[in-house]
Amino acid sequence: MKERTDWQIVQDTLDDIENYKYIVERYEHRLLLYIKRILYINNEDAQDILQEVFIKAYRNLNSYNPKYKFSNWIYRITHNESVNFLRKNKNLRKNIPNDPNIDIFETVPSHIDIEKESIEESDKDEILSVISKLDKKYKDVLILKYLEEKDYNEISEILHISSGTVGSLISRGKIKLKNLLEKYGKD
Amino acid sequence: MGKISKDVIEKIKKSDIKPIPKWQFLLKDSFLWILSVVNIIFGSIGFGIIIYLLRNNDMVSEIRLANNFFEWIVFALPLLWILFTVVFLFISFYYFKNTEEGYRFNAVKILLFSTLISILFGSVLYTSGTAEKLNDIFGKNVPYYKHTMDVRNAMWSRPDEGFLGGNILSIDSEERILVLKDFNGVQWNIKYNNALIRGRVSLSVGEGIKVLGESGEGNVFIAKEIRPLVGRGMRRMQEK
Repeated sequence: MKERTDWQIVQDTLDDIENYKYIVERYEHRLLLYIKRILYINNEDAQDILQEVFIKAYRNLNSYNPKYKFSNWIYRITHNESVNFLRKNKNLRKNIPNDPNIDIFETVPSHIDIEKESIEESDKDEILSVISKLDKKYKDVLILKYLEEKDYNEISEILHISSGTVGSLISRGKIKLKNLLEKYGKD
Repeated sequence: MGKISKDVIEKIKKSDIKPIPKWQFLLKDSFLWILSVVNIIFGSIGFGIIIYLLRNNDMVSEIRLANNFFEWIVFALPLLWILFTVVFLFISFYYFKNTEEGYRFNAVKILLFSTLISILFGSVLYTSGTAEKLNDIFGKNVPYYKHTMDVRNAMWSRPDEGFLGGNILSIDSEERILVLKDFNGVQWNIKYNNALIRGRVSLSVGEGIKVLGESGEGNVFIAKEIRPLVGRGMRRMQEK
């Protein structure tokens, strides 16, 4: 049997809430990972945020426009919820060390090629530790590009910024990332 | 059912959460669009009045005549309109950016586009005479606007310093003398045989004018330059 599309499940959910579990099950793992990647938090906190994401998504289900990908729409809600969480927990930022000489670079190989369209699965955790040290505006786009493997249009839809801005942020972020990797990465 | 999906659905059921109706989202987006368009209209009105005031007032030379900051602001009225227009355009930009599709557009392009629209509609408002009518309406109904006109009058009620304004009572074109009733009701004989008469001035009875020159003996004023008043709105106010 052909798998239902997200849009079909959304419509079915509006008729019967029990259908919502298919949306939740389809997205819970990648969204949980995404939350952990952008916030650098433990699994329990990430799960709390995720639950809020799905509740908010359900409440706003009628605002979803099928002209665009459902995944981008729910990623946007996740991103906003994560930003809200960060606002409420300002101390969280302090958990990410700012000194570029700290240990995380001990584990980051300098050979990671960020010019490639995608990063090797095995390098993702390591590159995340470096991306986390960048300014939020670069971090947001680079996580979506390298770790979530989204293209420019998808990133534009998720962050609600024009694709031109996405392009310039990625290009500037890449330079900053490259400099960090070259300077502190382990040979 | 997985744990998260079970928890989510239970919580939704327990808290009796319902999806927000679609019309509310449509209404919100329409509202943002309307606010955006309304601000472009305000921007266009502002632009139309700017053109009107600039074309009917020698703003640059009048600014130099200002005695203090308040007078400067008054004489720089088109500058205030420029400020209002810019503010309206930015508000319009803000609302547009918050519409569902607004983020897709480049900020500079949106601002340029809305500015062009305002210039276009502002020019239409000016050429159709609507900008002048609106300026009249503001002059009659907006307290501060009216006050700026009074201060303008005071500015042109200083014959000893060479500034005189008022309405023409009669004209002797052979002797090149006209009788002017100033803003305080005093009548003056204006000798204008050597005066520069600005192109927009119509020397006819009832016309409001501003005269630059020198005060002579009695109520005689030697005109060096004659300028029009701001416009019909200003004149009507004087007549009142």
